Amino acid sequence: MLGRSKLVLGDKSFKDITEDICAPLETLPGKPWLMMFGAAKTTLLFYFGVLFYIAYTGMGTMGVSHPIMWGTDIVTFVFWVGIGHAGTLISAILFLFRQKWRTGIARAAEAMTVFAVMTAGIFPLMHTGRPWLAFWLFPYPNQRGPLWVNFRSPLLWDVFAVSTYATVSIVFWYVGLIPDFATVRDRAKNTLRKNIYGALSMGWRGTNRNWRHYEMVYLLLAGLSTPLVLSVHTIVSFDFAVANLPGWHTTIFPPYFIAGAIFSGFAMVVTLMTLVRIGFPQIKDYITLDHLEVMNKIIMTTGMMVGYAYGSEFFIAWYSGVEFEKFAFVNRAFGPMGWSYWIMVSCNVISPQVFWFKKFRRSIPVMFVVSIIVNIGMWFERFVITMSLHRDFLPANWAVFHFKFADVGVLVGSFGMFFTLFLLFLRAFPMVSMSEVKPCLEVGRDGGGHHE
Amino acid sequence: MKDMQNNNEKKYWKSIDQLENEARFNEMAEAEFQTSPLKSEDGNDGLARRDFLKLMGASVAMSATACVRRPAQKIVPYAKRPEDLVVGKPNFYASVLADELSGAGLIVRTREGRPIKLEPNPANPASPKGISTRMQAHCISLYDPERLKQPKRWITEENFHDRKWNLLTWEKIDDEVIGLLEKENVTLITNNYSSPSRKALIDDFMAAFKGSKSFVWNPLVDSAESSAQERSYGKEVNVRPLFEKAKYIVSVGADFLGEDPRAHEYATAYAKTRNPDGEMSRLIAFEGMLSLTGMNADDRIRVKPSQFIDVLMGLAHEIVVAQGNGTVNSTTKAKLVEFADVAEKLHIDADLFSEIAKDLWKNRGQSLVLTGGTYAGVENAEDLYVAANFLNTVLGNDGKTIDYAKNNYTTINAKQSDLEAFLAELDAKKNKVLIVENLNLVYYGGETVKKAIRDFQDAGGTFIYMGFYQDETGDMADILLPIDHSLEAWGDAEFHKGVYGIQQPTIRPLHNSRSLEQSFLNWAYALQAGSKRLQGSETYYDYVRSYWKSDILKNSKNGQAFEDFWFELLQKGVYGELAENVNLPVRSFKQSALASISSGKAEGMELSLYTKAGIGDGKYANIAWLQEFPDPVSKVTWDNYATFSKATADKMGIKEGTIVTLDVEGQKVEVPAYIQVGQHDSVIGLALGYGRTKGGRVANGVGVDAYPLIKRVDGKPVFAGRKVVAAKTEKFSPLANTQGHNTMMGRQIIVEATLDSYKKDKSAGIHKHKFLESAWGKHEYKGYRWGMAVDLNSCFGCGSCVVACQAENNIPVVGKKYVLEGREMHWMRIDRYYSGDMNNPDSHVMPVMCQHCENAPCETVCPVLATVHDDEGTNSMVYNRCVGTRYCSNNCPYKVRRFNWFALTKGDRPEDTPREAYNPRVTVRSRGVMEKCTFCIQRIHDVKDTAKNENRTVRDGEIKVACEEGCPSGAITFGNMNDPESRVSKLFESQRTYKLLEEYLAVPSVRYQTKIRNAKRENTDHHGEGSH
Amino acid sequence: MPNKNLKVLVGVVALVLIAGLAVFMKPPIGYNQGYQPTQPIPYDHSLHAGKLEIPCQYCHSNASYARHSSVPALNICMNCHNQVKTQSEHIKKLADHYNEGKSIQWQKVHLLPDFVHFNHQRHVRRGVACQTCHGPIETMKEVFQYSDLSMGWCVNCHRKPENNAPVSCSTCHY
Repeated sequence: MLGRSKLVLGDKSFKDITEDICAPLETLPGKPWLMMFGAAKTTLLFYFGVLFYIAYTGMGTMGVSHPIMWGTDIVTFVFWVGIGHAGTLISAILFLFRQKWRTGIARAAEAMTVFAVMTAGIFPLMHTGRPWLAFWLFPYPNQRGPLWVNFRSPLLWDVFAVSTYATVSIVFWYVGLIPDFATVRDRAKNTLRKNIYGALSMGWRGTNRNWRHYEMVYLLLAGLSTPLVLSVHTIVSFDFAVANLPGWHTTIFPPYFIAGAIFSGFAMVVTLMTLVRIGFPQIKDYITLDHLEVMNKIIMTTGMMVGYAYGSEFFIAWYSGVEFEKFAFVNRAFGPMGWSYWIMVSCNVISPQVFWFKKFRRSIPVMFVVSIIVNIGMWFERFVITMSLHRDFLPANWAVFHFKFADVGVLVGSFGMFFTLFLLFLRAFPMVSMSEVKPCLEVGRDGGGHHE
Repeated sequence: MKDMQNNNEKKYWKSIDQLENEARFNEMAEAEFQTSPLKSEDGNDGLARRDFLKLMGASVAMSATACVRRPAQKIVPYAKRPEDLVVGKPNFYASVLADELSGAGLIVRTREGRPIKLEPNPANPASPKGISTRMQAHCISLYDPERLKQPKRWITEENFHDRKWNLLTWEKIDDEVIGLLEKENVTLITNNYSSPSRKALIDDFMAAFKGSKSFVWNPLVDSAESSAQERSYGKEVNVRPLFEKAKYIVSVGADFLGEDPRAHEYATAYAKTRNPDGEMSRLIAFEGMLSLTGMNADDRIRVKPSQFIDVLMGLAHEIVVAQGNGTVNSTTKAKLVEFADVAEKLHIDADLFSEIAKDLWKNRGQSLVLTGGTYAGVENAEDLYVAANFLNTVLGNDGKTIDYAKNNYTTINAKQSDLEAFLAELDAKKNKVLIVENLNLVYYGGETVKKAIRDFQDAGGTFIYMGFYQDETGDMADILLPIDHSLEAWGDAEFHKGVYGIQQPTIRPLHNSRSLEQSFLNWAYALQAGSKRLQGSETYYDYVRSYWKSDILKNSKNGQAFEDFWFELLQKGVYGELAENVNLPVRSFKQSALASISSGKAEGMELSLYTKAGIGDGKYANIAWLQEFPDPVSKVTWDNYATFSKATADKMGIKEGTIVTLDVEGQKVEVPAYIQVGQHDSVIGLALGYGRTKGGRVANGVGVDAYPLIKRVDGKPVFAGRKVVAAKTEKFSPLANTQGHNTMMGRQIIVEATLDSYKKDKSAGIHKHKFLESAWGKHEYKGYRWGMAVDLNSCFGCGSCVVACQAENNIPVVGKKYVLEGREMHWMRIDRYYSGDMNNPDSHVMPVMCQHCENAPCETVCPVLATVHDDEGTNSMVYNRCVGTRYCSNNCPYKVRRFNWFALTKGDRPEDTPREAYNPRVTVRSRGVMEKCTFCIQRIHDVKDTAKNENRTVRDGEIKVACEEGCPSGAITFGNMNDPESRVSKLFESQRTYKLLEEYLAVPSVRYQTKIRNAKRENTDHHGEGSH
Repeated sequence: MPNKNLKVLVGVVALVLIAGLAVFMKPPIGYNQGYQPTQPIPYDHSLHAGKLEIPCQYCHSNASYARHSSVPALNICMNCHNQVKTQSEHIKKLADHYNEGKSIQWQKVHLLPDFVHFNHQRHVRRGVACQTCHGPIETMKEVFQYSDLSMGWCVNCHRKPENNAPVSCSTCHY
């Protein structure tokens, strides 16, 4: 059905496409971009400040305490890793399913993935008591016997999962960029520019063999990253699911986390795309309302999956007959920290319901607001889960989590990091894949059937 | 390698180590006196002795040579090493601690000449097992950086403002004082002491100066007891309750397990009667606040202090009149009839009340009626004692469960009336020299004392303060003299009549201090004044010896030569026995004593001033360990607070931390409120010992000073029963409470059963779970497998173990700010839960430390293998491998792991433990690592070493872990589970044994024995909907 | 062009090998092996322990009954040196220190971190020769650190079945 409507609006020619997409790279940034970048960069510097403060003074500067030993760091880590998923899903899985509509948004989404994962990567490191020794989590030959790592620990699986994911998505993203870099190179006037993009495009000639290898590699990488979409968040969910804590020790976590990840990921894509469309009007023709509508549908669907998960958790808790399990969930909703639970539910389950209406699905302001609400909700989902710690087995230990300056600091700061990178990306890299959009130019033209 | 310098006086040094030979002892002695371990910079041969506490040498200097990749360090050996002192091996010395109103025998553990831990002396018949929290912590006060270090003289210039302290030498001080003593007489007031030698010395000294007066006073000394004895039996005596013989105990406001200075001693005796398989005693507590005794009582009845008298007389009425037991004259009968309707007047269940009376009579001769202490420190406290005496006489307990002659307490020298007498003496201004020793008079006595001293000074008197700190009192002194710590000086103590202990120094005075005794000797000698013994002794050590020779040994039967006796004494630390079974005639009670007793007039809210197990009278308020020690009842640290019953608090709209104004007959204090369930609705409690202004950097500004609220009626202090009006303010100050939630939520945590149901079913109350075969592979233990049994039935929750653990394992203090954030570091905590009716609940306590699980959840999740199982069943924590992911704690169902959120051992905060007090055998943890109970693995290693050297295996009970050692009631037992004969294995077989959170299948190596209450009602709050 | 690919392959393989080799050769980073500081008094083990054959435990007397072997106190040196070789400047220095009751600040050669609780007593009583860890001490004019004292070095010996030594972490770390 999507096939019939146009993927690229405004009867573009190949040349137009190139012009449109290369424009941001070849023109000087305007005020809005500069202002946004300034803001983001300032936040980033602030972020570094906070991180240094924590590393220098100790973890006690954050809200985490006995018995709640994990807090904002882990929550935000899971949050960002989750964001990443949409990118890989769009670029890899939809590619394998030959979804042509992905071409418009794939590049930006992938970029988002890479940056999200980079942002996430900092948290597990910073949350340790002695970050300068965190390299001990990697199994490397050493003079301690040698002393290896504990391969039974989910945290270790995490290290592998996330680092693999980061590597593959970066490579995947980069390979996709090569032909476009070449285009930019060829258009470049001054030599410096020529050399930089020349180097980046790795001597791409656009020859027949180039393309043959390129397609092959791209397909392989897509195949490679597809399982990662599932594996990474599955393993992140194991951090909780493998522990024995009531509220953590749940078999539903892997699918539930992945659904949540895609949910939040798509929300983030929508947020970014709407912004991009405002910032670069010409892009409207490539990232069309159709794209956004499809994503909104996915958001709604995954939103309801997550909602289902919330419900089933309660059922299982009751059905298990374990008193601790039962209590954990009642407490989650009605205990002293119940507020966070209700924020989560209203943001994740209720707000996406507006997308039942086409009018809202296609309204930029609505989707922008909802997408942000959803991401707030998803942050709180991870918060709620982590906070299962606050009331576990022995009531004598019970306590409540209090946010401190550093908690807010790292959360806000991480956005600074993410947006700085993303804004730079918009200016330095082609934000839409020209080489992928061009083949889809004919799709839906003259209402005719499309290729394949 | 004999040391050149010979010091005859030192040749009596003995360690309890029997193996040592005479020569070695002398060496040891020299070691003790050669240098101070703290003088590491002064280049004496003691150089850097302290530094051996790390793996030798620690003067860190980055090396220049390229090949060194670690900071280069120095090794500084002794110039003359005392041969017995083996670097890295502790030496033990027997001593005593008789610092407050009670005493205990000690074994002092020293390392490289540094006392690092105080342990109970098993040879002491009265308190062989545990010592109190304050005694445990007493050790680090030795190293308190804020101790008074130098004699000082207060110089006053014309202009008031440039008064200043001059540091002086002892010679100068002596000159001045001697000059004074030539002309003037002395008024002396000291804190309570139980040392016979000291008493003799002071008497000698006073005798030397006619007209001199000496007083002994302590703010908490309970003089009502002895005066009541006088009133009831015609003879003043401090009796000794024999709990081990009591089958039925009724305590009316007496907190003998908590605030009583001898609680550690009583707990040991009381625990003996709590064996459910034997003849289990029954404890009834009448009290206004919730005390440890009330928490452990089988039945607890809420009564406000002013009505304690009614309870006692009411019981007397029930027994004598209503039930017609015992014989009394008509007037007494008439008096008792006045108390006929006590039960309904106090809203006590009448049946229970008369039942108590019946049981008391049934157990006559084996029952015990107690009162006293601050909780019962009402205006007519003496009447309470008289009534109690009357009951004990009627019941024939006198002489049976109450020892008034054999080993009663003879040496409580302090008298409440001494304060008034002292002030009068001061006012008379006859004596121009005032000496206050080791008694913070101004803090305890408040404005009146302050003024008296000022007047005295203005009238040209000289005020000499011999103290440990420059505290509230010291600040007023003209001459300020530092005194020795009890670990630095010779001395002795008489625990009970006929039971003595010897206090031998374990380290040379760290500062330029001198004990009162030594000063007196020097001054008397210089003035050629006083008895022969006074003149004859050069040092106080000589004096003690001669006193023992002439007075104590004289009384002893054995015709042993004094030297041998002394030799033995120094090894054993204690001399004298407790009478086997006391069976004295019942003294005849003067029934006229009852005449003046009248029913308590109770209107409105009543104040109840009490002392906490940690801080006591406030003397040790500068010891951070005690400030951070969670109160056994409230679990609050770093504060005192006004306690309200739940009902009252709700009525007044008070929450925990709301600041309230207490108005006690005009005196107002503002203090945060604490809601204490189980407290009487018209009682407000407030702890003494806080609100120090010159107590030191730790003590100052913690809590509010409640001493001004003590009313003194003709010399008797009134702690309880004063009318108080509480008003809520809008201000709020959070209390650093270490426990989040106070009920068990129907989970099987502390299992409790009544005696009856236990008699029917030994495993009563334990909810058994059915398990499938565990999927885990079992660990194999070829040699030892360490386990610990905690008998909840003999754990009274005093918390002595908590401090013992802190002392042994270098556990840092975090301070109020961080306790509020839940960052306290205690490896061992005592969980306290309430159940049943929240107006008068059952209280349950449970020590929780790392359970050393067989299937330890923490081990599987640590990514870097920093916490692993070792081959003897303990779960070891490798600090240096830990990167601090804190996953282990998340996965620990008991949440016994503690994380170093900050660097707390740098010694840059007042709360930090002095470096010298660290135990060299335990790694000091850095910031960012996890820590937890290790089963005192360093002790395990040491004992195993000894065993291996002797080619044998470790004997059962040979390893004593710190908490076990600190526990007065012997609730904790540590041993080898693989040995079927060991005490733990035996205990684990008992049907009372259960595992905490058994259904979790972690299979802890720490197992608990159910608490048995000798009560009628069945406890309902257990394991509501059980999981199977 | 297969030979080109071959070149690449060879290159990669070579790189991997070198990297692997480098790693498994265990460069002694952070270990003081061979550390030989100059001491305030050039005490000569090769003379005392080697030529004169004074048993190690004459001076390091604690080794067999304490965790620390402990550097001898000055009075032990003086046992002999108040007769022997009293004229040498070094001995003079020693004597002076001793008489003033001062100690000598030796440079520490073997630096174990504080969190490693090594126990000489156990090893000595087990009959482990001093040389096993400290090397041919009797030939050293100036003492240097013979073994790298890394954890691996300890554990590899503990692991040998014939030693049946404990290998729990808590054996040394607590």
